[in-house]
Amino acid sequence: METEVRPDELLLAASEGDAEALEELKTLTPQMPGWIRDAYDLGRQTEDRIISLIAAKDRLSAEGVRMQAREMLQDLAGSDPSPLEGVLCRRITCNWLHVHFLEIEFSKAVKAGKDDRANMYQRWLSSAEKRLLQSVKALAQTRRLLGPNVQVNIAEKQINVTG
Amino acid sequence: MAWESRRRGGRYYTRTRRVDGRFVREYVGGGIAGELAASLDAMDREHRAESQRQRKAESEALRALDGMLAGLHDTCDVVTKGTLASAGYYQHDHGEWRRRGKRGN
Repeated sequence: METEVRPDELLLAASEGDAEALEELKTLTPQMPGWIRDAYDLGRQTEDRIISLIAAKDRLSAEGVRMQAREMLQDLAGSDPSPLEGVLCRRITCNWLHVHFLEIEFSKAVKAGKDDRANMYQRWLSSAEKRLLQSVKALAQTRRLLGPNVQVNIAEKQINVTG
Repeated sequence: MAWESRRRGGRYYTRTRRVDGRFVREYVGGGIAGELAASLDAMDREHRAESQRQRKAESEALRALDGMLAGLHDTCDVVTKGTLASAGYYQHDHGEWRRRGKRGN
């Protein structure tokens, strides 16, 4: 039976090598699909939210961006992704959409000469780019450890993770 | 911005500005000129207030979106760590993931 409890501390202890925590975690493994489903749903909601923000200002480009995100998700996930890979790929597309949205707003603010708005978007953009990079690294690392070696390309940047 | 009443009758529209730390009152005029300046100033104030409301709403939307992404990020980290730990890996010193030895270490 699935519960709403997320034993973060247990996961942390197990991931740091605590054998007892690992044994306890194994008993909770059946709950993992539920957590992955939650993450997947959260990813879809986040994606919809970002696209609705873009659509509020430009409906046509929002549709274009939605298609781009869909293609990116398919390219990243491949034909037969594991549930975890699916979620990690969804997180990457969400982060990419976020960066894309902030870049559009930042350039609009710069063109309009609105320095305070440009600075605000610049700050959000820095943290969004950092998060995008982390999410790409996490996917590459997970595939390296749990599956075949992979190379991930995002926005023409190659991300390699070495062990 | 204010209307001043004069002893001799009539009203006079004034603007107060801050110049080098001092308040300076500018006498704009009475009658139609004063009314016009007061209307323009009111429109300007309303425009600034509207811009401020928009910036606030925009900032709140960005914060809410960031919260969603942070939640997604954390949830993904939890399931990734759980999956890797279940598959026999542990995170060495919060960094590199290493395969656990046969005796559980």
